[in-house]
Amino acid sequence: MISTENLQYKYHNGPILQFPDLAVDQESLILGQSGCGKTTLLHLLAGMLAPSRGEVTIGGQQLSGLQGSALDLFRGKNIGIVFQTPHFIKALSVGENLTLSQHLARVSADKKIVAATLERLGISHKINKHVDQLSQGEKQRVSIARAIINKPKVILADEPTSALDDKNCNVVVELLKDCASRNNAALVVVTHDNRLKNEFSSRIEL
Amino acid sequence: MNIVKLSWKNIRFRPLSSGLSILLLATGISIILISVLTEKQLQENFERNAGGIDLVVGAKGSRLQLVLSSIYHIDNPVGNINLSKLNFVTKNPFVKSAIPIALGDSYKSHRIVGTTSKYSDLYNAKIGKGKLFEKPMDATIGSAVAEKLGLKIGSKFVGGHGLGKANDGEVLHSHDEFKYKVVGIFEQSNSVIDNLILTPVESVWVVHGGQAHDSGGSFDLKTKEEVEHLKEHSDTHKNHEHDDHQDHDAHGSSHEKHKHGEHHAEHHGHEHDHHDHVMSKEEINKILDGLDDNEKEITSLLVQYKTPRGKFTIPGMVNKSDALIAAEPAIETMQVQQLIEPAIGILKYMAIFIMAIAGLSVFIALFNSLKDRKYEIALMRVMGASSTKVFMVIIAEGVIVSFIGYCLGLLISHAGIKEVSSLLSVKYHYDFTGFLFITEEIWLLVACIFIGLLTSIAPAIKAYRTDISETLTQG
Repeated sequence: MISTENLQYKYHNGPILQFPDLAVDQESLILGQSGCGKTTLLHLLAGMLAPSRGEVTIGGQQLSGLQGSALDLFRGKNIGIVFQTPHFIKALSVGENLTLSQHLARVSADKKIVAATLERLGISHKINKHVDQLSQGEKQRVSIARAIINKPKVILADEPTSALDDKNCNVVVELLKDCASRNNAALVVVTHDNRLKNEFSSRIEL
Repeated sequence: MNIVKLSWKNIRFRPLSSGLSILLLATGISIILISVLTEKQLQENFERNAGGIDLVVGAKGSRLQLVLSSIYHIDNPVGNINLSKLNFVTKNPFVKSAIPIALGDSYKSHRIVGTTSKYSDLYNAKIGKGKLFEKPMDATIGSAVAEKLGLKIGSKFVGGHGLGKANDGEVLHSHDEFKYKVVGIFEQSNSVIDNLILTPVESVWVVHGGQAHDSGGSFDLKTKEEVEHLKEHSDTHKNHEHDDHQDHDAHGSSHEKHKHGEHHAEHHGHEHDHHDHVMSKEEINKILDGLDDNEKEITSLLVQYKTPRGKFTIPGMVNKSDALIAAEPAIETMQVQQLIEPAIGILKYMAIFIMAIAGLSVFIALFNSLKDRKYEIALMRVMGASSTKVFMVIIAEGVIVSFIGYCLGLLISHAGIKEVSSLLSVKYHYDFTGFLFITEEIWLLVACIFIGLLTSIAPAIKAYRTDISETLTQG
């Protein structure tokens, strides 16, 4: 579903990072210490950074072949991202944040899908709450909901558990894996969190 | 969840800063609009009420006062002039029409205007109910008078002397014996007529017994004794003798309340006899027959020229006369407008200054909120928004805020004018409307939207240039 080939990134006046080739169809954990370029890799995979060399291919589409708003739209439709600290549009409620995600990816707004997604993540009662009123664990669930709402081909998670306690950590990982497999999406988790080591069959160390 | 809705949510999420911007814009807009609307309506009223009158002829005195009192019914009337001595104007070949105006009385602060049928033609005032006055003591009233005072066809009322600071006969001296009868009500004409009571000029002569005093402005009060005295001539009321009416002539126009009080006390006896008495046609005719030409006085003459040449001859002829003066409404109203203009000009500059501050406020509000929302912008890009879309969201916020400010300003100014108009209608004898919408308002809307665009463009560019990766890494 997502693969990379000879991916290289050169920081502005900095070192060149060379990444191992990836080919993920189901799930993969990318482990590495801080500063080894995990987030850079994730941004490259999401098309938020352009590689200095190499190629990212998602569902047969080469990201280098897309530019500007076409790339933005491709990202919105095909890539769901979960960040370390969940951020939302503060002015909007939980439900509205998800609807916005549908709108921006030009998927027709469907309240049923929003409700069902929140239901699956066990937070359907928070649909009209403002994101500020949620706990950290709840926020992370909402951000997972947002990542999967448009049924993306790839779910990228950047340190999704490092801000969570053990209990929430497990729950979030299970939810991610569950959602990915239900949607037939490839799941790539980038982390330094060793708690996740044994949760994934496929592991890459940077 | 489209752009407008998202922008609206963002505006509502910051009620204080958005509210301040909106309030500042609304204040600026309403000051501009109130000054423009007032100026406009004043000007329109001046023009409409000028009724194509080319010249006003009246007693020597202030030209401005003559125009204001005779055409606009704002100022107090000037002195009286003798109708018979105005033949050189009324019979002049250059004059199309010369309409007499006799002022001095009022009913509940609405002026009673003694005139001819031609007066209502000046304003194209049409009869709504009943008919135009025909005989003395008939009254055809303006639509606003009928509405405000609840007068109907057949209603009778007694005019009071003076032009109505009071609302009843308590302070104004009332001509109890002379009752006007409403014979018609005009349709609304949006002119001074709406607030006037029109009657044949003869009514005024009847009420004032045909003997206007030399001393004061307009028709002075005839005391009851004088009226009685007049009636004695007609042999209908012979039961009273007055030795003292000359004394009353002496104090003439000084309408001190206590003096009238004295008269009332002295003549308490006959007062009741005539209280409900409406004069018969014969009585009226007798009074009118008893008047000689010298006693037929009016306040002013409204002149329309037949040819433009009238302009070059008639004012000169009038001004040569010792007792008369000619005033051109166009010149006098221009003077008034020149007085008002600088004040309105200052208001406008003030409003523009406030608008500038409002623009600054929109800019600061957006810029500050953008600092907090940098991550949100990046997030939107992650969710599929193009940089153009993000740009539009910020622009939309600025435009929506200024649009709301504009609407609020529009509402405030029109509601304000409507509120103030009730005060103005008493003072100026015509009604301002809160529902006059003018083309300037469209320009103001354009200006407002432009301010919104201008102030949001820099923040929007900033949002447009957001580097997703960098922002998310920092966040």
